[in-house]
Amino acid sequence: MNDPFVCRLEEYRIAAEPFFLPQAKEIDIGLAASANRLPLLLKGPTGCGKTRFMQYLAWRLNSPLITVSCHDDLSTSDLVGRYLVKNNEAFWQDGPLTLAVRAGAICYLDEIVEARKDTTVVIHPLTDDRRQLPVEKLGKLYSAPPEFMLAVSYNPGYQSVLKDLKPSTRQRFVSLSFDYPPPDLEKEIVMREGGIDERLAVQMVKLATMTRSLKESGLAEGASTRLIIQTVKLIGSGIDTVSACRAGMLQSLTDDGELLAAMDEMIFSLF
Amino acid sequence: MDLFDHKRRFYAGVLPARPNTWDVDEVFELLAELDETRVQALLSYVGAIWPVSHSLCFAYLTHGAQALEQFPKEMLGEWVRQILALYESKGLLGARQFMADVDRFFLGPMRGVAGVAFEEIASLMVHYLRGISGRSIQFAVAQLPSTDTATIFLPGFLDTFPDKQHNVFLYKLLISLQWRQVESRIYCQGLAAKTDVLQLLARYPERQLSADLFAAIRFIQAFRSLESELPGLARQGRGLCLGLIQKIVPAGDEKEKSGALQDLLTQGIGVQDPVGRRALSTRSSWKFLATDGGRKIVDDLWHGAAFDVLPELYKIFSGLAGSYHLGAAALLLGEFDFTRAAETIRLRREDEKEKFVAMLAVFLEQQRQRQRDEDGGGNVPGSSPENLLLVRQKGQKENNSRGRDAILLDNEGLEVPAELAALLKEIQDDLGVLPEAYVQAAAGQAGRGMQKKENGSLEGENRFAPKDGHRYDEWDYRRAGYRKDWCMLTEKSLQPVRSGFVAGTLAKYPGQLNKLRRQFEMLRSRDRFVRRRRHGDDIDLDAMIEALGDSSAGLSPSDRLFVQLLRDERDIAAMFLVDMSNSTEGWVGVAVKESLVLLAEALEVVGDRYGIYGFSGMRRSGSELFHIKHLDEPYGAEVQGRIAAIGPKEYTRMGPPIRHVTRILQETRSSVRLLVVISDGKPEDYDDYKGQYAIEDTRKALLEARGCGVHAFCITIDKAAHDYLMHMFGKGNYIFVNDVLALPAKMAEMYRLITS
Ligand SMILES: Nc1ncnc2c1ncn2[C@@H]1O[C@H](COP(=O)(O)OP(=O)(O)OP(=O)(O)O)[C@@H](O)[C@H]1O
Ligand SMILES: [Mg+2]
Repeated sequence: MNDPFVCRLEEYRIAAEPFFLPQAKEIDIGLAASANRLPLLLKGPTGCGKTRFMQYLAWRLNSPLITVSCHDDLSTSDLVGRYLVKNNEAFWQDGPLTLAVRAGAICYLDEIVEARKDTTVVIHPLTDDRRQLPVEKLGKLYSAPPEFMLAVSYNPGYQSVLKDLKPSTRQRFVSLSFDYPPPDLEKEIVMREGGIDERLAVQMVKLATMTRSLKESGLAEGASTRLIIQTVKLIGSGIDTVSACRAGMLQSLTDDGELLAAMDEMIFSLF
Repeated sequence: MDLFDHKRRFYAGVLPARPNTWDVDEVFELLAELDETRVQALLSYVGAIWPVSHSLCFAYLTHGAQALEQFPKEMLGEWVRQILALYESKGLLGARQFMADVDRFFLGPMRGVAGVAFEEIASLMVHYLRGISGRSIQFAVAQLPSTDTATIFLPGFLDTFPDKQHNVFLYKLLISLQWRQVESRIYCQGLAAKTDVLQLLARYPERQLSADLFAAIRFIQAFRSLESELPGLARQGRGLCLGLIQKIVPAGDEKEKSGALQDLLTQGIGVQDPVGRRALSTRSSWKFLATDGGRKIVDDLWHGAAFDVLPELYKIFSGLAGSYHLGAAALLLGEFDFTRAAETIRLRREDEKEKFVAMLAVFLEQQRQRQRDEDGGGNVPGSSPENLLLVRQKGQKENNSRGRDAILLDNEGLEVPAELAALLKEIQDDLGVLPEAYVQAAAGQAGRGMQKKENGSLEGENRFAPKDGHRYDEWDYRRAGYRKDWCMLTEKSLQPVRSGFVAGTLAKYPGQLNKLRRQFEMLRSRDRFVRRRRHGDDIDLDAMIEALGDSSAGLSPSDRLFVQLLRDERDIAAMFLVDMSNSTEGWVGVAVKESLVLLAEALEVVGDRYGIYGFSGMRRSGSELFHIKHLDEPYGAEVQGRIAAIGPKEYTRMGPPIRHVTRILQETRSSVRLLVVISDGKPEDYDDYKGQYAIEDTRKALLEARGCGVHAFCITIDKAAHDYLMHMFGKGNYIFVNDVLALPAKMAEMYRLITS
């Protein structure tokens, strides 16, 4: 059989080095976790580079990266796999998790708290030293090869008490805490990703930092690195700075009139 | 009518009171100047004002005599209306201020002139300052702008420019300039120099000149730093500054000095237009700018310390003829009160030290505990964490490359809590290095730690302790241990009052209520389709296909082939704990009550279980918890009556009520337990429950709650977000609301956010 399995897997391999600037020792820790076959928990606010980090790590380890965005309708079969019928013949199709286990890839479950709890129990035997994935329907128990790595992410900042990670789940992981990069680093990132000059990058980072100070004033979250880059791209396409900041960054943060007015004042002070 | 008749009419108007004749005579002397109809008009409002306040009434008559020279008597009614409104909101002082300057406060706004009261833009500027500075700096009103590093003082009203927009902008500029003064650390330098700054300035014979030049230098430096920090503001502000600088006028005929000051400031804010240049070059007295020495001074101005540049500048200026009035330019220069700032900084440092020592002590104690567990009891001398810490720091002095926190973090197994690390960084940024004494104090505290347990008696207060109270431990951060059974909490019930409060609130927020109902409707336990059920309402196509696949593959297919309509239960129990201390009197209390009404409406829609309790009390034996609504009590007239009955009582000891409600929550069967505390400032009791002690106990109580699986969230009503909030409530676990009127909306919104 001209293995479709291999073809599919190749799609997940990251060919070129992704641009990633580390904030602390996350790369070392990530590599060490992989070497010791430990699963990773990435926590941090939205848009601060968690996904990008995984891409980088996958590239460094030369492993395919299989990402699953979790949602509340995700079923165990969606992760593990199912039989499908084609030309009156049934064939098994691996789910992303099984695919990753069998191939020794990295499986990254993004926003794990969004998934229903009964779905995520399948990862438990994978996260302790058994490192096994039972696939009931196949009657098989896959043991993960050393290269296999499980990583999950979650954003503790959403504050919803309904979506917290249980300690029993949490304590199986090596935790990497991400936050918005310090200004100098973030500036570099914005310059690289947005393709802009240093002066504008500094200003944009400043604006985002200002919004992050407003968290206790009722802003659910401050502007992320992702929002900065998005705004910078608008500017790059010829939108004037003020409109770009409003549309690309501030309006995405809140509907509160007073906070928007205050952030407007910040734009005018900066530009 | 004559004076006698006027007085008679006055006395008749104020019956049954018999005011002091001296006061009356004094006031009526002023009225003698006015013509008959105006006096009549003035007196016609006495009946309305006297019952409100006697002092206000006398002040009204005194100022009224002058006021009627400035506006026609037909406008008197409106003037009185505004006086009464102000008296209600700002008291006698506010009303007096208003009456004293008729043109500015009354006629000005009537003409549609451009003045802005800081009050109008305060809440906007709170967010603005918080954003640009990333700190919590307060605002207060003063004649001239200044700062003590914790507060920025600003005039209460600005009408410098003929249109409102410019005056608002001026506020923003002044705030930003003062923020730069805080950031420049000029006050810390003053403190570190150990020379009395006041004496330094007083050494100069022309004291005012030296003070003004100092302020001018600082203004220029602040403006320069704005150019890099907030370029947009600097760009737009330059013209405005120029306008103010031009308000400097000579006092007398000699123009040299005032001209030179204008030139210095103009040059200082980087105005390079040819007109400015010419002005500079033509002034014979100010040629030095063109010389090398002059250039060096200007250069030093941008970069040097203000104290170093001052002597030379003073020398030049004192040689110039004439004098000047700053006029509105004084706003830019502001004031520098080094004594006040030094005191503020001292207090803050003390605070930070206490906080740091408390946190480090707890941390060290935990480490020690852990080590004891690992060592199986044998404590190896020299290996305790604090020793490690001290040793490492000594070594650190040689290679100065990394901060102290790095040392702490480098210690394997010592995972420093983020908060402690943040505070450490703050202290290092402030003092340059973490003082040895801080670490030693913490090590000492941790050492004393657990051995000392308080005995259970409520020393001397026993007699008053109610029998049916609940006893709670209290956390004493100074010894990093609990005081056993230290507090006594009594549950009481509020007597419901019949009033139109609830109906009134519902009528007041119709739009808000509609929105809330709609939003909470969506949160409601709703029916949703669940896939892969054995029985159900419809066929699950995905499951069906899978089953087909399975059976073709020779597996026995699953029988879970249906989708079923199921109720998705929200199983939440929420407790609202409301601060009923006496500081909530007035607007805050009303807003809290209104918030509860709106919240109850919303929660009835969504169907979550919730309870409401108020708390207050005095002393550790007198904590009181007022029942307003038990968890499963229906929301009806009784509860509404108790909400209406919420009123200010005594003090705010937050620990016992939090612990008590946590216990109640623990006993309920809901899967998600939520505790929402609504307060209006620092916890404080009559005894020594204040300051750091109170903050640490509250923090501990909340940590205990979280430890029991209760999600604790706090809403605090305050003018600004204080730094201690994050420490006390924990990052992301609180919001502060500075506009009381916005509380009802924000509270429901917050509940929705954290439970969706
Ligand atoms: N350290 C970094 N190095 C390089 N790029 C970064 C870094 N941090 C953030 N970025 C940029 O920010 C963008 C958003 O980051 P990313 O998509 O990884 O966020 P995330 O943390 O996964 O967010 P979410 O939780 O919303 O999924 C990236 O596309 C990248 O451009
Ligand atoms: Mg992502």
